[in-house]
Amino acid sequence: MKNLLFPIGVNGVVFLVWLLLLAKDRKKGMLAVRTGWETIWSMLPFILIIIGLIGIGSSFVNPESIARYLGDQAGIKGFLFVSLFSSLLQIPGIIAFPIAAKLYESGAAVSAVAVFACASTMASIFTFPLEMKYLGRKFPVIRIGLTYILCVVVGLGTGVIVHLLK
Amino acid sequence: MKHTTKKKSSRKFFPLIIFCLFAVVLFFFYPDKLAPSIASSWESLSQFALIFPAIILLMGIFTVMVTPRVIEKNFGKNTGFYGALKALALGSLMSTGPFYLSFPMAKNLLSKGARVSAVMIFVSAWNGVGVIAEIVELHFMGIVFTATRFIMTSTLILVLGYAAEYLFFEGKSKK
Repeated sequence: MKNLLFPIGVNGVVFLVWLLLLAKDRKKGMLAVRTGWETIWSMLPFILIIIGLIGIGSSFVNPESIARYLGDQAGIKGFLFVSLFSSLLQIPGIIAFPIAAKLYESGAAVSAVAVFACASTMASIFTFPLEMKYLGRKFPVIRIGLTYILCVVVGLGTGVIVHLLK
Repeated sequence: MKHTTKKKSSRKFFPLIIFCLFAVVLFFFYPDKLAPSIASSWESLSQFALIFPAIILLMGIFTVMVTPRVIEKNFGKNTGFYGALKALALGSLMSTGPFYLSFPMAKNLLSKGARVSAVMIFVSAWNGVGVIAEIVELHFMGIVFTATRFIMTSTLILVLGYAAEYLFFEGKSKK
């Protein structure tokens, strides 16, 4: 197990915050546990599917091909492919990052991983109709368009900066 | 009431059952891939389990404390850079539940007179730099990656907000 310090710290701090809430307002504290559990419970099937897919993906797709298509030597083509592909569907951050970590471990470039993390959580072309229903046509067009540009910039920027820092 | 929730939760697990069937068929034809798949999934799962208690508690705490009412009250008529920063902070605290909840909420805020830039920033921060997601990112990706991406994303979300507002009213201001 690598890096146990962080999870222990986070769990400890969050637990302390929860204890404070419980001490201040018993009802709210108990409600927090229940709603938190309900939220996670409703996401659990998808979390498990993603974890299953990570396992299947990593045993069927060998690291060499990930490195070839999404690694540093893949260049801008791999980067653009990831950016477009991950803009299609919006997935919650807590599910996106385990996938991002696996891609990174398998040899994908930092910029590709960063653009995946950004675009998969923020841009969502498939839910455009739903967004339009609430906010009209203009809002989602501008939002998704600008978000895509943001993701490309963040992806490239993170790639460069992480490369320089290492 | 109880009956409906029960029905709903069993429907939620339907995709998982389909996925399991798919996996059974897949490993029937590729039995040699079973062990490495399970090993890899197990590694991800155990990584995830380490921060699971914190995620559950934080989601609950944020859902209870940062209600739509709190958001509305704090959004107010705040304009200027301070308002934009506030929208960013509120959005990142809203990292609970499915993301598509952000659309009706954005509509509601707009109809209450919030600025387009603030609402754009709010929706983007909700999905892009949520506190809970950042904790997961820190756990899985490490400090260098997370800090770099976080700083760049939140700065650019502020820029995005103003750019979006400009584009949004561009057609109207030209008479």
